[in-house]
Amino acid sequence: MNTKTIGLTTIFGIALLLSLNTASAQQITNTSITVGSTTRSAALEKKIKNWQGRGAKEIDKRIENMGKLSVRVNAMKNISAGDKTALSGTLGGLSNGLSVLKMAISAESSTTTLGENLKSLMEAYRVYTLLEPQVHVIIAADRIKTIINQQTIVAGKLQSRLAQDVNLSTNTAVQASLADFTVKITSAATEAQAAVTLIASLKPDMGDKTIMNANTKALKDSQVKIKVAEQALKDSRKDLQVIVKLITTKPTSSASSISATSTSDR
Amino acid sequence: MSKTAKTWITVIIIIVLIIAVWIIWGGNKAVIPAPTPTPTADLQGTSNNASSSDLVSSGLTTAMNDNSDTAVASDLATIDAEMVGLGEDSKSADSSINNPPSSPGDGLQ
Repeated sequence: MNTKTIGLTTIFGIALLLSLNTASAQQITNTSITVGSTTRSAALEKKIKNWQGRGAKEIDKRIENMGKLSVRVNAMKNISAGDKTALSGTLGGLSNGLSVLKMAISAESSTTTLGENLKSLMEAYRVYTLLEPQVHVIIAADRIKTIINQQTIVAGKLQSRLAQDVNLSTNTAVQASLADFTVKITSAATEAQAAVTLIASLKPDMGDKTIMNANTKALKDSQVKIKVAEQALKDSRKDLQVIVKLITTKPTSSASSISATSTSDR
Repeated sequence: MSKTAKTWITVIIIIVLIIAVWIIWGGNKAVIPAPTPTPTADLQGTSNNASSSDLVSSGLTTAMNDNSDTAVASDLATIDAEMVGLGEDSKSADSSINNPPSSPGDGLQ
């Protein structure tokens, strides 16, 4: 009995020792794997940190830009409250999505999941690369309309002043400036509207090269139209200046006419 | 009572009555309010009312329409400020179209 017990105990002990030895060997094996791949793991860790850092930096930059754009959108004067809300909502939605993505990226240690997160950042990037210039064009077009309204008001005031002086109102330079002013203001309005129309219905390319090229062309064409409108407003502003100068420094013939009229009134 | 005394008393009474009548009549006359001109009469008056031409010559119309040199100069200054803003907007649009931000995936290998 004792012998049997001793034998069983011995067998159990050997089995236990073997088991412990195997576990120990496995542990050693695992450690050795870890130890053996320390250089590779550090490189991977460095890569993950690098990806996370770059992702966070790019996201922060976009969120900051969208915040600035949102401020400008809310300051626009010529779009409806509904359009303004919709545009701000789009910017805010993308910004919030990027914030969530940034948190996910910073918390991720799996390269597979991190890769997927970065891929979704690429998709968000594609939305952003279209949305940012789109909003810039809309903002510029809105400012063009504001300036058109302001210049038109000033032109109306100057015409009221001219109406009090027949000779000045029929002055060739005044007439030419007024005619050119109308042409330039009309051109600015047309170009600004065309710029917005060009980019209003664009969709993110999501990696499609053909769509990407079409979007880029539409955006560049719209920017050309904004510049044409800007130049037209500079020209119309010069027209106003010519009229102002003629009013404030009346031509000799006009001055004598005003003097004669005043005398006859007396 | 002598005749002279009666005469003096009569004279005094008459004087007192005259003074009384004068005070009563004159006092009442002072209390009577002066006739107040009705608004209609005032508006229809001609001597102190300004005509439209008077308003023009006084500069009031000019002020209302804000056509003065100062107002126009102020408007033009506002326009010039907006033009500067438009130049910045245009540059921002140009930059975002021609120089898009780097892709977050670039170099992530």
